[in-house]
Amino acid sequence: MNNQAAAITGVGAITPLGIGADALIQGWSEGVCGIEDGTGTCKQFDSADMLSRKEARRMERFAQLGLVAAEEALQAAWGDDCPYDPARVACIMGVAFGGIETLRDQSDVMDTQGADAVWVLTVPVAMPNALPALVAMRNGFRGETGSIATACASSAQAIGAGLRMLRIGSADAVIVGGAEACVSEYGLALFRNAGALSRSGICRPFDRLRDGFVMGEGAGVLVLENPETAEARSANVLGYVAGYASTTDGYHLTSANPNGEVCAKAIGAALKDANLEPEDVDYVNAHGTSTPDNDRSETAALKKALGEHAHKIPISSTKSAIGHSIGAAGGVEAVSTLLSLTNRVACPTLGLEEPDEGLDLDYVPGESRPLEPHGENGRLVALSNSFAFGGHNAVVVITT
Amino acid sequence: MEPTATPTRDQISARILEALVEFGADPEKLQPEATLEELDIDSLDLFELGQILNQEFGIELNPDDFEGVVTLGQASEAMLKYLE
Repeated sequence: MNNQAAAITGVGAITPLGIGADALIQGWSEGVCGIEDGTGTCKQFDSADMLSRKEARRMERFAQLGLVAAEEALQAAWGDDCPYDPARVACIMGVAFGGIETLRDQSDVMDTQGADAVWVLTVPVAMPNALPALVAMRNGFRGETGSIATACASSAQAIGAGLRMLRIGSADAVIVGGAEACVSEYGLALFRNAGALSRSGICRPFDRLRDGFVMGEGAGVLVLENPETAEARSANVLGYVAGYASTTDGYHLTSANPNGEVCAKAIGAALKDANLEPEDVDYVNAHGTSTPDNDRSETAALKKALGEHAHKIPISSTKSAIGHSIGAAGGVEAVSTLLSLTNRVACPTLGLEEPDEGLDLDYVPGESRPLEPHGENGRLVALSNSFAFGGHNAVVVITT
Repeated sequence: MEPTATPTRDQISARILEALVEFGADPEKLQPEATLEELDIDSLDLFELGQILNQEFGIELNPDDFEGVVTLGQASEAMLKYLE
């Protein structure tokens, strides 16, 4: 089996910490929290700055965020001149909901004005596959495109799908990641009523007072290339997606199995896929939602999968700085994981003051600290975990 | 919205231009001889225009009304013919 890594040649992100991947890692590493009044919104994003009026009105916010993040990643990877046959460039994006605000609004229109008044553009604006379609249209890509909807694991699975496409040779480059924007009265109600949202509005993963996740929004995109063709064209390789695996709890529709066993299997399988051992891991970017269930089961999973080594490495949660961007989270966190490695920094788990009983790993409370490779080859290895409603567990291995 | 009882050509023409600007077209370029391609007006814009005219003026366009239409003037006439 081909276990080749994918070269990461460009990243982009729009998050509550600002526009661009640099704003994400800079803000988080400095301990800035992008959560205000109980939500993480991308306040610096104004579609008018980056999209034409025509483009913007044909996209819901999730697609706007995703398209701009994709453009940042593509500019970093190869600028305006794609080095590949357009038919060999693919795009797989994660999105859990897509245009739910448009669907909701148009449902109201139908109720009040009748079926004939439902907006002509409802489908193209709301469809969850809008983002990869728009990325392909704008950039002329003609390879396979599509969306993956597995709730909070969506864009981690999109990254895994992209890695596999490169390995089987169905593409030379794949644009992966995801986007989500459901910080709205409706979006908040969906999760609050399911018992997942923090009542306090504070994200404090692994803390004894944690009481749920804080809703965020954003987009995170990576350009993956076949490492040989990336090297041949002298691309600036930022790092690698070295492995990926996914498992399914099959335990409960919304709750994680507290024993973490099936999550641990995903971690172990992802490391095996990357030809790495548990002892090779230098850093874990946790799913770290700040829900009582997740943080306990994730800790159990890390202990099962990494053994004693789990106690020796920094583990932190990007969500503590930006909230939970649902279908975008895996993409945003893959970007923050990569940049943690390239900047050699373990960013803090913000809001963590007193770890809950039994949550005894090193969750990097307080401030950032230097991240040093412990292997002899100087390479840094990280896990990016994504666990979802539905029991989907996805783990991406990222290396320098 | 209740359709206007007896819309005039001027009313409908003005509404078409207003809608196209709302869709993102450059008002300076909205000349009858301009092509839809130049104005970046596509089939979705025309569908949306059709819906607006239906909702506001009671005009019912047919799917093939825009067949062979190249310019904005031709597109407008394809919609205005329902007043004759």
